[in-house]
Amino acid sequence: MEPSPQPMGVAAGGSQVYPASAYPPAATVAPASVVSAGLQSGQPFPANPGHMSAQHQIVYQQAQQFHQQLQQQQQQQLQQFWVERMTEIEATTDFKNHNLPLARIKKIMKADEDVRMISAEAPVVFAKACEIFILELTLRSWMHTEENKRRTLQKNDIAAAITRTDIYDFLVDIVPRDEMKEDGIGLPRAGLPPMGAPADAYPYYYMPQQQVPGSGMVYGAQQGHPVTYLWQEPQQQQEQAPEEQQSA
Amino acid sequence: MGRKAKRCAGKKDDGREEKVAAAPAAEGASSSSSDGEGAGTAATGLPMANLVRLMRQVIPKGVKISSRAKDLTHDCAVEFVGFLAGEASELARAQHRRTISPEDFTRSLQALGFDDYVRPMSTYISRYREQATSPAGYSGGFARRPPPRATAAPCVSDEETRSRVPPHGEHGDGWRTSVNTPAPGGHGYDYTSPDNM
Repeated sequence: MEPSPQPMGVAAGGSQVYPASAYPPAATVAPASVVSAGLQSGQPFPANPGHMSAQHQIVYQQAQQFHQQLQQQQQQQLQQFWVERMTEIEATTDFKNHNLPLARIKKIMKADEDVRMISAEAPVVFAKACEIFILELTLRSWMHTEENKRRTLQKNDIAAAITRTDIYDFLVDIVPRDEMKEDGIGLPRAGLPPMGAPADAYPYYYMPQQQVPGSGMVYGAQQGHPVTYLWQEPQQQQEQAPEEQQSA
Repeated sequence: MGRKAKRCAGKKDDGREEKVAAAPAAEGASSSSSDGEGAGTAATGLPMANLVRLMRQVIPKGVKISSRAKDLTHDCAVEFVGFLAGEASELARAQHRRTISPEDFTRSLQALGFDDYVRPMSTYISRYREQATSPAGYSGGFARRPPPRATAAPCVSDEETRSRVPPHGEHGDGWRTSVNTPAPGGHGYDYTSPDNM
């Protein structure tokens, strides 16, 4: 269920810039590593190395600006979230009806053998905090959904939110490994700046695969879709060069 | 590092292992049927309808939520409550008290790095107590009514309420003092514009 929408999205994005000529898998991996190495060798590209380097720097700067704007926007969203929480709490007059049943909260609290006696007020407070936690986690997850141009909140969005938020460390054990692998575990931040423009076209969390060609190949060998990703992504990068030439 | 060290506590670790073991089963149930809510999950967790209603409050209209996303959010919420309850219990025990109070809760939030939560929750506790003590009909320890939803198990609730009367009396002064001087809210990640302050 979950992987289905992503390949279609990627295919749609890739098809728009898909070149006429096809490359074998081995050839597509090598150019990617060369690009990640910093364009030390211009051999795989038609343009001259100096020209590519300058254009690459421009792309890098634009990607960095995009990333900074994105971060600022998300910080503003979080600040507004907490302002709204304070406003909501200060306006609360009904403490009898809760969004989460107190009996369930108390049962969860007592599931821990260390927890013995609970005051009558504690479940009310825990229920409210749990409510805020659900709202914050959902908001942070939605940010990841937006970054990937999707309209469906998915499991890997929640995994991404957990990975990016320090205070969510205690949840790392709950997230299945496949979700963490798909998300690239923290790499999205590092991977986004150099590939800002391509990130607009398809899920950016796939970019870290390119930085570890060996790992990518192993991953591709296990499943079919990743192989397809590997094929399209390098072509996407190579397509960047002609586009830049046209703009210049 | 501190947080992870706390997570490695023996019993907490066992608890988490159990939850991790339970999660795959829940996922299995959800994968077999398109509906995310399983009987097993509902019995030991939170109602999925309430959870989804909350999630929709912070996302735009028309956005869909996959069943597996709902399940994972549910598991995280349950883990959050257990995690904080364990920490609050330790804080209470460190002060030689056997009953977890709301103050133990706010202190556990701070200890575990949930700085943004401290100020909203402190305000919530104060307001809750204001309305709890306003009814003239109540006196002494009975001023704090048992949770309304606990009617499902009235006997247990009554027993717990009676057993807690002495602790309430014992800590009453402390709570009132705390109400008079609520703890200042900590600032989380770049939360530098508290307009309401």
